[in-house]
Amino acid sequence: MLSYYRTSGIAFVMALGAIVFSMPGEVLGEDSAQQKQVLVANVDPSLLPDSVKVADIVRGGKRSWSDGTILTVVLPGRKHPFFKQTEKDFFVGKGPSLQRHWVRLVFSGRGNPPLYAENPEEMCEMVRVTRGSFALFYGPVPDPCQSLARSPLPVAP
Amino acid sequence: MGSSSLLLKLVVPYGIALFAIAFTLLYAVPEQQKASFFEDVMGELRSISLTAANSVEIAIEKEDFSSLSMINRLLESHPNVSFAAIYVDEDGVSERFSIYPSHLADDPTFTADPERYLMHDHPIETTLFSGRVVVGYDETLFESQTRQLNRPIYMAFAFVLLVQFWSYRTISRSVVQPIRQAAAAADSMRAGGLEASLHLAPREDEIGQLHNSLQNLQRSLLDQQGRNDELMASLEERVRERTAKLQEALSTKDNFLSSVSHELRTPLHSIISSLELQLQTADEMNMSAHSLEVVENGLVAARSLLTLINDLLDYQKFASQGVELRPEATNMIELLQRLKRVVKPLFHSGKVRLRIEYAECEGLWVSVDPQRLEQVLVNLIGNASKFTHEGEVALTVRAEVVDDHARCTFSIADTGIGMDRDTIHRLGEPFFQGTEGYSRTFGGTGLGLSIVKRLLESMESRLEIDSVSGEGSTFSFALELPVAELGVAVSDEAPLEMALTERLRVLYVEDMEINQFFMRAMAKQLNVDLALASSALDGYEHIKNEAFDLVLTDIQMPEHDGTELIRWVRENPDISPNLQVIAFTAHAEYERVEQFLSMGFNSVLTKPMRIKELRQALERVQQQKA
Repeated sequence: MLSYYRTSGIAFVMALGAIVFSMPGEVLGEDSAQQKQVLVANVDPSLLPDSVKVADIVRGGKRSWSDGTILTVVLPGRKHPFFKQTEKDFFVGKGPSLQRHWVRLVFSGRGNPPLYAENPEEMCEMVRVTRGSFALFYGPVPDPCQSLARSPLPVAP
Repeated sequence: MGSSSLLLKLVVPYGIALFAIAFTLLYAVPEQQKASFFEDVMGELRSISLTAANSVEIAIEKEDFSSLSMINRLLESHPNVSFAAIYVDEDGVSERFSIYPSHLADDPTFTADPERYLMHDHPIETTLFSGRVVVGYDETLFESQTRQLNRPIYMAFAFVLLVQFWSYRTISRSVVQPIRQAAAAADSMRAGGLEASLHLAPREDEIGQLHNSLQNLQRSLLDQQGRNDELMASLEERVRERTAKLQEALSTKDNFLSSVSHELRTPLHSIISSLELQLQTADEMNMSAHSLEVVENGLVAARSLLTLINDLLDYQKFASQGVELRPEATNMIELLQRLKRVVKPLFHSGKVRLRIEYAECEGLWVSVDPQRLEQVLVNLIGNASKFTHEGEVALTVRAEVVDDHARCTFSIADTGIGMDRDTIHRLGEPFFQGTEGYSRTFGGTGLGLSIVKRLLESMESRLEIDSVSGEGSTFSFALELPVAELGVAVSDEAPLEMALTERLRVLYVEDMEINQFFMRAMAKQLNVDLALASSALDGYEHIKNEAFDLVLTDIQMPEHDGTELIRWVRENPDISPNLQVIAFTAHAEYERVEQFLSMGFNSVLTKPMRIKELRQALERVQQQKA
């Protein structure tokens, strides 16, 4: 029995290696090093920011799009699968820094109040129904949001 | 404006009301407003801090920022919040976590200073942190808003002030000034007469009624004044008529008295002269004792009649004109010596002795009317001698000189019959002579003491009487007399019984033959070379053509009287101004004597004249001639 599991394991690793080696180099590098980030926004695609400005938007530094539409950030809630990653990527600090950051920002009046989603689907739905909203997906974008402006981006620190 | 001004009286209640209103509107109400506003602000701060804390908790725990964004808008729109901050307690230290408005986060000087801000905080407990929400309100803003809240109150106070000023001004213009106008109008009526214009503005209110009443009163008073003026004019006219009649009557009375005096004196002169001549020639005529007594009694009666006439004249003169004093420097000793000579005949019987004593009178000159003082003393001594059968009458004079005044006390004491108390009280009443028995026994008119009292009153003195019935009386008075400068002690009286060594040539101008007769007899007695003229013109011719030592002239003569004669004599340069001319008249009034002296007569002899008086006049002429 034990040998079976050991054999199966070896076989799984070998199969995974074969898949990895059979894929193109750049795709391989992305998928293997980190999850793919996709920016989805309910705005005109031409307004989508470049990679540099994404972090600023996620941190609430921008309050409206260049056409004047109010910018609402849809953030992953504490139960959301992207929560830790998002906090890790964008909010460096002691303790639960994402929430602390946004509470400070909104209370002081410097930022628009964000929306919190519990999962990617809900996040997608919130973006879809909220004009000027913005969300960052780690991994595939749910279907309802396929029609929205989106931009796969390298993850900014 | 007097202290009783209505306006001043209004000032007190107005002031109190203004103070109360000022206290209420400027202090009490603003303080109340401030306290109320403070409570409101603190309530709001409390409510906002609670809501904010809840919103933060919801935002963190439920990941729902909607309420937090609402709070954000609430803070943004709320005027009573200067800031809202979240303080987080970490590691025992409270640190500011976030603050609204955000620019305060960039202000390094900002601190939630309780001196500057009204603040309220509310605790927060979340899974992320614990701390508190602090909401603050700028106190200067609070003060500013308080002032804004109080602005209507200040405006209300200004309005009250305005109303008070307006009401004060209205009362002043509508009530006080018109009342003053009315008072001024009444004053102008009082000061300027009833015709004075009242200057009262026409009005329809109660003040106007007052003004109308004043004007009606003025018209009524004017009418009354007109009637009074007519009545007064009528009364004045009647008074003038009565006064004229009275003056005429008085003048008639004076003339009558003067005429009566003159007409009485003239025959009295004849009677007295006749009786005196008879006495003078009694030895030559071998007159019997009985005849001598008859002549003497007749002479006493005639002299009493003369005294009566003199007293009556004096009394009526004092009553109608008062006493006119003519003070002159008088030597007291000389006055007493003259007095002694005058009263000496009263004591010729020898039963009653006259004693005159004086102290501190030597060399004393006083300013006094000597004739009136002599008249007083003669009257009192005469009375004393009349009521004293034996013993003495003593005149005592004491002078006390202090500075420039002499207090002279005169006392006439007799050992006569004295008086009871009732008689003393009534002495001095005109024509009072004591009981009927007195009158019958002692005679007289009862005017002597009355005249004495009047004379003493005119000299600011009064007669004191001390008497014991059956023992005698003392009459005394004191005079405060100014000390006069030393005069020349020249007596107008020649020494008694001076020998007429020279036969004097005398002209007597007289229209009545009987008087010429007696003058001839007296001239013979006095060894005088007498010439007679029966009219003023006749006398003037004698004077121009002959030399005389003395001219005696009657005054009241037909055609030309004695006053014309003296005028001719004194105006004629050929006649010596040293010629002695004596008026010899029955006009004995003091004023007439003065008048004659001022005309140029050297002296005046009044009728009836005693031979002794003629002798004295001749002696003076002889003395001057020598």
